[in-house]
Amino acid sequence: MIMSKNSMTSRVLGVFAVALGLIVAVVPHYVFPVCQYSGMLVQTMAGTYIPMRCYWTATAEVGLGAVIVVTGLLLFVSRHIETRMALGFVLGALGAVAALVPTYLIGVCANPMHPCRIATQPALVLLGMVTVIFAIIAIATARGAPRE
Amino acid sequence: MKGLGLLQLSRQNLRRRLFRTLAVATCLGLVTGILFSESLIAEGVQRSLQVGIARLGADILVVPYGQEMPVQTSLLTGEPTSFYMNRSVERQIAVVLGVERTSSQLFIASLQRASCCSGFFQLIAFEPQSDFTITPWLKSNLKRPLGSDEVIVGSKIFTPEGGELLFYGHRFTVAGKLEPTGMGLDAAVFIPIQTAYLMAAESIVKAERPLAIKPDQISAVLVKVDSATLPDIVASRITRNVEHVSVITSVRLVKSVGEHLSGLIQSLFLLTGTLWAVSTLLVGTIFSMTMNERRREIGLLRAIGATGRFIFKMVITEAALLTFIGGLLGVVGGGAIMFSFSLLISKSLEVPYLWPTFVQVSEMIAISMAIAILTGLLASLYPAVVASRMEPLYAIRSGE
Amino acid sequence: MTKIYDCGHYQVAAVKNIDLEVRKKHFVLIAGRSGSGKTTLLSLIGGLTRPTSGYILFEGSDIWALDDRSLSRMRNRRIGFIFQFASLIPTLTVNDNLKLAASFHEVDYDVGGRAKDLLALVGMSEKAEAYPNQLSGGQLKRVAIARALMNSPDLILADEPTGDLDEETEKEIVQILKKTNEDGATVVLVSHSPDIAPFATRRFRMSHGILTEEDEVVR
Repeated sequence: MIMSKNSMTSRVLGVFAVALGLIVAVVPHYVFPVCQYSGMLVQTMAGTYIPMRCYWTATAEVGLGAVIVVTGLLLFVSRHIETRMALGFVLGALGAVAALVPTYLIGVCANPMHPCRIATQPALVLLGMVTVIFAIIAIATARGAPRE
Repeated sequence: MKGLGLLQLSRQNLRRRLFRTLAVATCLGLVTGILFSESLIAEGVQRSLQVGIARLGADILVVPYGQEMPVQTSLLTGEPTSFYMNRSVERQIAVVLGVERTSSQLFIASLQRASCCSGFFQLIAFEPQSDFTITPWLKSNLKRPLGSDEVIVGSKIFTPEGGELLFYGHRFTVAGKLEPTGMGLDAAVFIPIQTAYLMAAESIVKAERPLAIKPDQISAVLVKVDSATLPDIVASRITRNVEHVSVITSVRLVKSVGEHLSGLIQSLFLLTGTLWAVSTLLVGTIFSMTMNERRREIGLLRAIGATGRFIFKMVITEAALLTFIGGLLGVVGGGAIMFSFSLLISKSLEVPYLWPTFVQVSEMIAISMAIAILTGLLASLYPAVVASRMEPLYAIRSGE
Repeated sequence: MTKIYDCGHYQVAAVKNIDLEVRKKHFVLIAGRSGSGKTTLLSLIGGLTRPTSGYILFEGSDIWALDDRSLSRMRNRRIGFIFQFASLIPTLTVNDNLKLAASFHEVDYDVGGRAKDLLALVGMSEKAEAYPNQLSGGQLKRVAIARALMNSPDLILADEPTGDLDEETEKEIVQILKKTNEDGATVVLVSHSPDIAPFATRRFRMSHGILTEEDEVVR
């Protein structure tokens, strides 16, 4: 199949975005799992068990990861400049949110020695930033693509 | 006036051969990143020890016989521990030749998962009159003595200033937080020794498990040696004159960390050295192959007036630019990973860690970048010489 | 001069005992079959290869007595090469390919302006920012000519400049070379094209490394 260099770039970026999305979803559960004390639950003063913040972060990242995967797939099949640029911006936003969820939007445990603070949080922030970098590359390289 | 510069020419060549550029840059970036990360680890451990030992203020730590390991672990990683000896030890140490000052401390581990304790921490009780660990900080930061129910916490304790902590049923207020050292002291809580004895006495009623400490018991004696004597000499004098104690010098503390790390660091540097050699060969091979492919181009350049020297400089500049990009990627990537995961790495390696100073990091960046660029220059030297000596017609013909 | 190629088991004499004098402002045409040694002869004249025996004098000086820097400078300032094959640097735009000619030694003219003028002369102004792989064969030749003229050389060495071109383009290129010669440059041109013969002041035929002047035998 004859493929232009430019559309090859879009496909490569799409594959990378899919991989990033999968990693974002998987990291807080399997690679650097969030706090497992009492199965991600914390006991309140009243004696009931509620999920810790890192639990909610891990759940949110699964959703974000899935959307990044879908964006990557769309990037893979897109040909035109407008579509690719739009997808690039969406990817960038998703990456930013993926980094903000464990830091400001939801956060993780307050204890600086918990695994969610020393491993999960920095991993997700890094992954989010890498996703944003890929998004910038996707936007920059979309310029050579044909118009609709 | 001149036409295209060497840098411009090289940049264009790299841009148009993007796959090759990315492949070589990634390879070199990986090696540079690993090298940079290793130096960050080594420097970070050093810095942590320097800052931590300076915070401790002592040249020698005297503990009950056989308790060196738990103390070292507590100081380095913050793993809580408790041990006691009679206070008379301090009086014996004070008269040893070369000892300038002494101060006793109590090491108490709080209870794990007990309602009477806020968490599992190392409590260090100090003597306000003789102390030289916390007192300097109190003088410059709090600017007043610590109240009887007040504590100073290390940087890793997440209770804020003004917050409350509970130990053995006794309530404390956090009066201040120390700057990080990267050592176990960051997870310690410093309380006045008299309050510790009171807490112990009250624990029979207030705590889930009582804290059995008598008012004549201490855990450790911190010793400051006079400037005219070496700490090792005073340490051996203490060992000879005082019974049932173990002596830890700050030098030995540093050495033990060094020994623990050295095996790992040596293997890492060996691995990196091998990787670097392989990368240099790879870059050299790629450059040779590329120059072979570009024979006609080189012949053409010579035909339109390029000197052999220009060709040599062009190849070298391209290599330097390529490896500069790779080095930059490595430094940024390695730095980002180290910065994000320094606590995790420190915990996994069981070593103290404090991020190096700006000057130290800049030096390491400069060295890593220099190694990356030198790799490019070395690898491209032979191809550059060959290219510069090619007869123009031969180059043009063999490229057809 | 003689040029012998050593091919390992055997040797090939591409140029045999040629004694050639080219005067200023002449238009010299060399015709001959493929493999007759024409390209080697041009390369010898331009200092791209050293003769096995004999010498090459440029305005009375032996070019192979010069050091690399001086010889390169001579190739850059005094000689313009137009090769038979595509001779542009593939990683540079058309404009940058022209500017390349001014990159090796200091020049005393406006490089950008001169490149623009020459591209206009050869009818390639619109393709200034194109890359060689985006141009046709004829367009590549035009740019190659423009580059050869960048430093206003005294001597143009052209190897089949109109090969593989359509009639119209061929005529345009011949006109450009003719004008260059009229402006004072000496042209030594290798070509089969019958359209060029009328402009030549001297015509030669090359066969098996031996050069023969048409209407006169030259050794």
